[in-house]
Amino acid sequence: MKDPILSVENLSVRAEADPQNHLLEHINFQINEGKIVTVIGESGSGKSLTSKALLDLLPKGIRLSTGSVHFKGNNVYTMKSSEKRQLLGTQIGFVFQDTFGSFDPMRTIGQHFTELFSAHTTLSKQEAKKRSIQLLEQMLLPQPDRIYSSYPEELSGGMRQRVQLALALSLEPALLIADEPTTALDPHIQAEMLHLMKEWRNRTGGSILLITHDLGVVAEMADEVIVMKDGHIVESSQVDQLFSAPAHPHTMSLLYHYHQLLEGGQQSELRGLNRPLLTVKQTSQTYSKRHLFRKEEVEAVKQASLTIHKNEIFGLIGASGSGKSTLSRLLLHLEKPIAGEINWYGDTPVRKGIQWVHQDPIASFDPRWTVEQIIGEGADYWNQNPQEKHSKIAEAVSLVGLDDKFLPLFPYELSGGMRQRVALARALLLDPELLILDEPFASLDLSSQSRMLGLLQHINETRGTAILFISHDIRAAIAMCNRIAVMAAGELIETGTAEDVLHSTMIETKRLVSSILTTIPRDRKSDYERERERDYAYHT
Amino acid sequence: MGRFIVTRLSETIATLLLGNILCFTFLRLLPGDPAVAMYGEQFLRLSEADQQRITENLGLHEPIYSQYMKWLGSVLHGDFGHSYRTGEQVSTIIARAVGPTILLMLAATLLILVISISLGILSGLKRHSAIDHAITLGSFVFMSIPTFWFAIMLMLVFSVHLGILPSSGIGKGGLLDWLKHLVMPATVLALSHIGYYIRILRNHLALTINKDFIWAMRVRGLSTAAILWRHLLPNVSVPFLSYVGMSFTLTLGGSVVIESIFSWPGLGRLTLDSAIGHDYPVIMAALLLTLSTVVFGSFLIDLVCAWIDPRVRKSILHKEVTSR
Repeated sequence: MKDPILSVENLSVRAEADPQNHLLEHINFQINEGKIVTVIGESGSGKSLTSKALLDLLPKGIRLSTGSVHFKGNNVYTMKSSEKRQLLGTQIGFVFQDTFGSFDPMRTIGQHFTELFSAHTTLSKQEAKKRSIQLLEQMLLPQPDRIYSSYPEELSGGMRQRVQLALALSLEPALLIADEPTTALDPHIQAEMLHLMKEWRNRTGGSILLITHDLGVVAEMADEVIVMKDGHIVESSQVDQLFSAPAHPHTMSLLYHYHQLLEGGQQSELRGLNRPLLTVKQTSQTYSKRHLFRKEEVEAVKQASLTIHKNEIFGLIGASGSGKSTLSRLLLHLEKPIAGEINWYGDTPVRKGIQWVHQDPIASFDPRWTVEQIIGEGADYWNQNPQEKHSKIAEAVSLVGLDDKFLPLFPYELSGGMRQRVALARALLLDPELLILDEPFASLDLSSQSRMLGLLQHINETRGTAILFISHDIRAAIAMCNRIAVMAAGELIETGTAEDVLHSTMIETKRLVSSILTTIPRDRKSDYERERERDYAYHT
Repeated sequence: MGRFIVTRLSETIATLLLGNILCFTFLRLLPGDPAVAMYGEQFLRLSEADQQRITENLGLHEPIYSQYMKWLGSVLHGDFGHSYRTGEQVSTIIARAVGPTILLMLAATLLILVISISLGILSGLKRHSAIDHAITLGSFVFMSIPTFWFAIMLMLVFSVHLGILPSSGIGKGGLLDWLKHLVMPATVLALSHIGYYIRILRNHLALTINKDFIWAMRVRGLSTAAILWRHLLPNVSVPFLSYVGMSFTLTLGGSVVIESIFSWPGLGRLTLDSAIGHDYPVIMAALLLTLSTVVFGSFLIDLVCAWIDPRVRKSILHKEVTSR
């Protein structure tokens, strides 16, 4: 067998300030030529830190305590800095999750390429440009010349991510490291990205280290899987083996939550939907954009009509830019529509009855407020006495499954899942009849998503709160919603049950559905195993 | 672009006009009479008819708005009038004072830029190191010392005790003599403002250096020098330059005090002297000049920022308006 491209031996990393606490401990793995190795784990498990440690580019204040990293037999940590630059530039490509922050906003895409070529090759400017455009073409980007001379902010997230991939692959590296490359993207763009990476591997025989929290991505891509938890590798195996016979309880828990999310029961249409809560009739909204000489009208929502009934979980699905958020702003009466009407019990909406949960909870919190203040704010506006307010807060907190001990904390001290619960508790404080959730899972890893999903269904069942679930994630919508409306280019193209949507004949809907990644065959497992997984998942 | 220049230009003109009207009005509200300032105690001993004749000659008997219109009219014809005190053409007086002020401002700005850019980069790159703390402490000290006290202390040391630098004036020819006169005022002016520039640069550098794209550049194997010069500094330069544009006003204002202390024959001292002497035409001309410098200066800085930063350029070219 050939030598591995990359081998990591006994790697441990700790913070300088706290030498006792190892952030990564005894990490051992190898990447062989032509293989796709995925690292999976929940947020905070040390996946990204590992990728930085591989390149000797640890953040300030964190350093290697033991271990070594060899790339094609050379120790990365003992290299001269010029050798290391050469290695990083030509042998290893890197793709980040953040598509925007990873470009210098003041340089064009072309300048990013020329800089790279001039640092590591002897190509002339013309040749470098030709090569760059060729690379952009390979990434299936439309109008590569135009993209070459664009600034990063002029491109969409999916385009930027493909440009990042082109940059990473431009010097034909032996290893591509991708840190959550598709997490921030719409599902169909995600599928495209993964396809491009896989195609590169097949064409050149390069290896890929793919970091992700999404088991769907793992199933789609991986040859080998490494499961991480709290800075340790808990399991490392071939992909088939991982899915058919997971060894470590944490892996089982990940799998359980994944299945829960994927097929946690398709919801059926509720019977007796005869009490309309919110009705939207023929509503449109237009924005005008002014360019140099012309004025462009953008129809964000066109003639939308829908009804949300009491007790119902209603999904609003569409790709980014399809008008979902605009519609939700109209429902909340944050904006006035240019045409049509929106009624609440056949009347104008009252804010108190509708509560909204923002997709990025931390952005919707005052960072200097404690959790208690944040949750209790609603009560202040409805003149409730302190006693009543306190019991309301306690009720809301217990409803979302948080402990009282979280109340005096500040938002930055909470994890992503906790923050989302706080946001939910704040919304539930006033006993709303309708909850509007805008991409509630966007910032959560799969296990937190699955727990959150269960929580929302529980609230819906026990309290009869109607939920409007806005997302681009069709997987979650199918698992959760009674009815789903699909939105494309400002129009509601169809409304139906999960079953209807899965078997829809509309092109847009089909595209959304087709982007669901390969599902992991579940039947291969024995009932006994499944039960074990479930037990473990409930206890963690 | 065309539209940007037109809007900015009309804004500029409106600012100038409004600023002028305010200056003109407030000047007239100052206690004291220019005629008294011109003729001294004598004026009060003149007969009432003579007093009135002098006031009418100066045009001070008319209502304030018609005085302003007359002044504006002649200014638009290029005539700034004559000084009340010396009878000299105002444009001659101003022209004489502009040179020294430009020299002082240039020297001070040069000092500010050179020192603050080098120290700002140093402390931004080595944040929380001993050298960063020393620079921070130093800049706070100079920011909080009153200018006049600092100026006097310098004079005491270098002019009185050591006797190596002249304490006042601009010198009588000769490059060395002139530089000797320039050193102290320029240093005082620069040091009293330099702290702000260093802080701005340090903080923006520290923010930018933690951005993902800097990390991405390192992962692509670019050298530290290339990252610093091609990515870090251009990204920091935009907020820094816009601050330079804004704080130019402060430096110009600071020069009034410094010119007076060092008897520097510039615009600042001229304005102060004329204000004491109620020399309306001279003050108005000096104020108009200062105002235009500041307004056109910031316009220029905006253009430079737009030239450097594509995002600013874009927001200028396509003004996005959301409406319903």
